Amino acid sequence: MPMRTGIDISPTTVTAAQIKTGKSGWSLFASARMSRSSESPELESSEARRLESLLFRRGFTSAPCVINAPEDALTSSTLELPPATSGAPIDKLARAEFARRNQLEQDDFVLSYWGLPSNGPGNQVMAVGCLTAPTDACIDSLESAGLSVAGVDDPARAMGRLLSNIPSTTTVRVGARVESWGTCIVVLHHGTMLYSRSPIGLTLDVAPGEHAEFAGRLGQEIEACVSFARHRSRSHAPAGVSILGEGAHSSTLMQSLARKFGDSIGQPVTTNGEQIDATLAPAIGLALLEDIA
Amino acid sequence: MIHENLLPAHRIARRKVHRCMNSWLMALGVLSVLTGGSIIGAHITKALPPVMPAGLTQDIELAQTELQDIELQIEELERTRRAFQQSESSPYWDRLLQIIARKASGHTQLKSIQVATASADDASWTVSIHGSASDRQSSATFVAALESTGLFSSVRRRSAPALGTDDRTEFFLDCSINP
Repeated sequence: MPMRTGIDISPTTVTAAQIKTGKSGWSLFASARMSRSSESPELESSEARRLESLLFRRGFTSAPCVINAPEDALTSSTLELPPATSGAPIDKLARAEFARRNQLEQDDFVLSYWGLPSNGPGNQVMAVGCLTAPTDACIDSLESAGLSVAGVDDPARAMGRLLSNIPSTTTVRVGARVESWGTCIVVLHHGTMLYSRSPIGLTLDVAPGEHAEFAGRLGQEIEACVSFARHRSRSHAPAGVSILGEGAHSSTLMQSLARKFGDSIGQPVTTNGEQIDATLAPAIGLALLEDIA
Repeated sequence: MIHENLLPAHRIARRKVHRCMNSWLMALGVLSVLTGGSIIGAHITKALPPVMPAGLTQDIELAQTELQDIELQIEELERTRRAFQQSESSPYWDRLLQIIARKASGHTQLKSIQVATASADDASWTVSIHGSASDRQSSATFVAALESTGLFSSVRRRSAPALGTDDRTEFFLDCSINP
């Protein structure tokens, strides 16, 4: 069965997860986690070598890797494009519009975009651009250590990919990745990512006693996102909430959020319904990328 | 939506080239193994043309000739056996002919009667009769009696009756039976 490895490189840790994919879905094959020794956003060569050694010791097999794009390489925008039926060169228009809006050269980034739910005649898309230069530097480090990088993805979209697999009747799902270095909130509508945001100052580097207060702030952010998604999709259906990352391991935080959202909280599971470690979720989401080179 | 992968385009192109090269090298490797295996296999299982041992052809020809001779002998023996079988199954000609001779005239004596088939395949028989009569009239009467029985398709006198040593006229008859 095909194997894929997702490598999530965050400012403090590197998390890797290897999945086996088949006709009946996917299953977790191996996982590993290591602390970063460098404060650089890109993975350094020494870290890449440590990672490769760790993966070998943890039983990872040789498989194409998908990494998250460096944070400073990512830019996202909402674009208005002509309808797909107009016959216009939409890809070229999207690239030109994205470059103009973000003041980039057209050859300096890789663009990906997807349609957003819309009630009007327009074709509104969410576009994500990834700068080539910083991404290349990160890939070079990994490939020099012997890893084969076949894909790069936006970490928010990778998270959304995993969240869309959670069996649920809700139309809106909000996923919050809570880490010591920051929080990223992803909003999905029928599995399509509407948007993602990283609230400033919402980091879990506080004492455990202050986690309840942190949960209150996080809850407000999540409610705001749900309200936006409901407004956007003109739906008042119940929303699901998932907490990923280190935050899911804080019992105070989870109890506070459970009191606020009740049964709406649902954690990610494999296709077999097995609960997965929330800290592995971003790496698994990367490994689930199917469009690999 | 266009592709999801944000891998830089030049890396995608490089990976495609590597994949093509890997596929090509793998195909080349498989081809080499197959070709090498075929060559080695051909050397190992190289089949030499069958060489006939010296003189064997001649021996076979001789054996075939002998076989034909034996078949001919068997055929001849079989023909003889059939003739014997047929002669053994033939009626008691001597008694029958003696009765006919007595009824025809009391002056005819049959000395020998031989029954033979005309040929191996033919079912016709010939009854050769050697006898003597007191006079020519008696022998003619006997011939007429034979013809009148209807047993024979023809009754032929082989030669003219001649006087024997005891002043009796001898005669030789060939009676044919055609079924």
